[in-house]
Amino acid sequence: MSGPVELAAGPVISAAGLRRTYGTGASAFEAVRGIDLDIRAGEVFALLGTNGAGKTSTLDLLEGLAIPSAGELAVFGLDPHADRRRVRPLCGIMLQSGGLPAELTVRETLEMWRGTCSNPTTADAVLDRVNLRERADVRVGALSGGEQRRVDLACALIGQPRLLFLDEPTTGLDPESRRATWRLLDELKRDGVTMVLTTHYLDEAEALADRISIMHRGEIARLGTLREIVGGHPAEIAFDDPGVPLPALSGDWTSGAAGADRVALRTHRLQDDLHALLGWAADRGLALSGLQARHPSLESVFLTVASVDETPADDPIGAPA
Amino acid sequence: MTAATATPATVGYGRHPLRALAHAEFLQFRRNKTLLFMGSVFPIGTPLLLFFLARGDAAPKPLGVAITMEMFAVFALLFVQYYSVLSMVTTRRSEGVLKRLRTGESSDLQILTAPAVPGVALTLLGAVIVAGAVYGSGGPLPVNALLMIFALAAGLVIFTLLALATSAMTKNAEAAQITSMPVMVISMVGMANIRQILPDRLALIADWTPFAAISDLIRLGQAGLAPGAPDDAATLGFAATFGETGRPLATLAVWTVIAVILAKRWFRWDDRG
Repeated sequence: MSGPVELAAGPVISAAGLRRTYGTGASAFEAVRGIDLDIRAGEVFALLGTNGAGKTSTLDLLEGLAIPSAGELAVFGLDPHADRRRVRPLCGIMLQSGGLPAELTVRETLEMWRGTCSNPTTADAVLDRVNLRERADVRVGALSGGEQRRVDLACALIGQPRLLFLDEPTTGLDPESRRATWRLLDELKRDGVTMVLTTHYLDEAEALADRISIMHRGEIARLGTLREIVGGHPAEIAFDDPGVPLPALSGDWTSGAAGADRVALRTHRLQDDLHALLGWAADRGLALSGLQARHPSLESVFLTVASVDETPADDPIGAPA
Repeated sequence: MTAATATPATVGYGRHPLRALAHAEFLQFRRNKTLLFMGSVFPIGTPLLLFFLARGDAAPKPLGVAITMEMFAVFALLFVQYYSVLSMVTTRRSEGVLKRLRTGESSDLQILTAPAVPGVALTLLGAVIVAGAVYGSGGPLPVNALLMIFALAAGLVIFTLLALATSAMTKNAEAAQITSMPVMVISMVGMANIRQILPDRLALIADWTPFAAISDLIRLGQAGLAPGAPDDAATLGFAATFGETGRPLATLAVWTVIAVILAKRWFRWDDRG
């Protein structure tokens, strides 16, 4: 028997040059193409990306469900696949799609999971956390999709993990349940649980994550805190095309990008450019209808990253006209 | 609320993954009317009904008991063990349960053993009921009960492995009705009274099918009839029966190896590949 894993300081997960290839020969497909990561204890780390960006393939590796085709990987200082008997008791994993027997009740399902864990809490404790106590005796197959998702989360929590992997934890949840799940994850974070989550909801990543990575085509395209990621990105001013020549400001004007008959300016000097624009409009007595000025958001960064293959040189930043 | 996770509420709790998983399988088995019917009425009811019909008012003969026991074995191993494991493992895979369980602390062996437990338990229970009814009503006791018990145990292992291999090409529980046919047919052919009416060349092949070995051991153990011996051949004593176990044991060994190889090569945890 191997002893319990020491929860030492240092990264909970550390990966370098991580790769994963499916298939061999001509049909081989590389889903993960050299990923470097360090995830610290107590950190909430969000993995974003379009469908097929390699998020789930990466999670499979970190969880020890698949073996990397190249690269270094340590979870709690151990190989998550080879040493899974020592790593797993510390992990809770929630896969992207279900995996609960339809014929068991919620409580029976949780008791089954509980019996497989080294250090479980009670079924009632996790049912309370996901707000499903009153559904305990209902068959899993009779639950709504959102409720099933919460049972799935309860299964991941019953072993009292120190590291939680959540693959789209709130997909299919109604807005109220989503907020409840956020509150729960926030509680877990305060208990010091490290979390790696993927999501399609950018507001979820903004609300929960300490650091965010945006994956694209098997690589990490952006990595950092929300502020760091958004910081280097231009703000946008947009309004309905007034049909007259536009003033020269710090960024390039584009038309049609923000909608038909709209013109937009991407700028790193939002306040200055907006001030100049409004002065220019006032001088001409122009009303800029539909005027919007937006700070860069995670969404705008995400869309820029995701559109890289369509328009390779799409970054008209900073060059004054 | 926050304190709940900080202090483990685990006093007095031991970790028993196989027990927890097998318990869950039992609950699901019990709720599956088809499996429940196939697991009880077939293997227990059919052999007993025929046993009591065939014996009439006469005293039961060793051969009659051997046929009853063989019939129990074929139903128990095929309809209870093979079919239930096939159906349950296939359902668990298509529900994503196998993949989900692999994210936890259970070992692969525990995850795959659990669906076999209800069938094993039901087979053992059925064996006790059938044996109790047959021997309790004056059926002659077996020459060598060890061989019969061994045959049943080996059969449970082999047919569990064959079920895992078969589930690889079974999309869902309904498809199991079709995909189970090859193993079902190959096994039925191994029943003693079917081999007796096969043309010689086919019978020679049928002797090496998995259920043929089990059938041989049951006839040998119950009635002292050597493998291949006609129904009215001279019967062997306890010690002599061991000398006739060569072919059936070799057959079981070969099929165990085949079943392990097939299960290892073909088995999939996940429908996606």
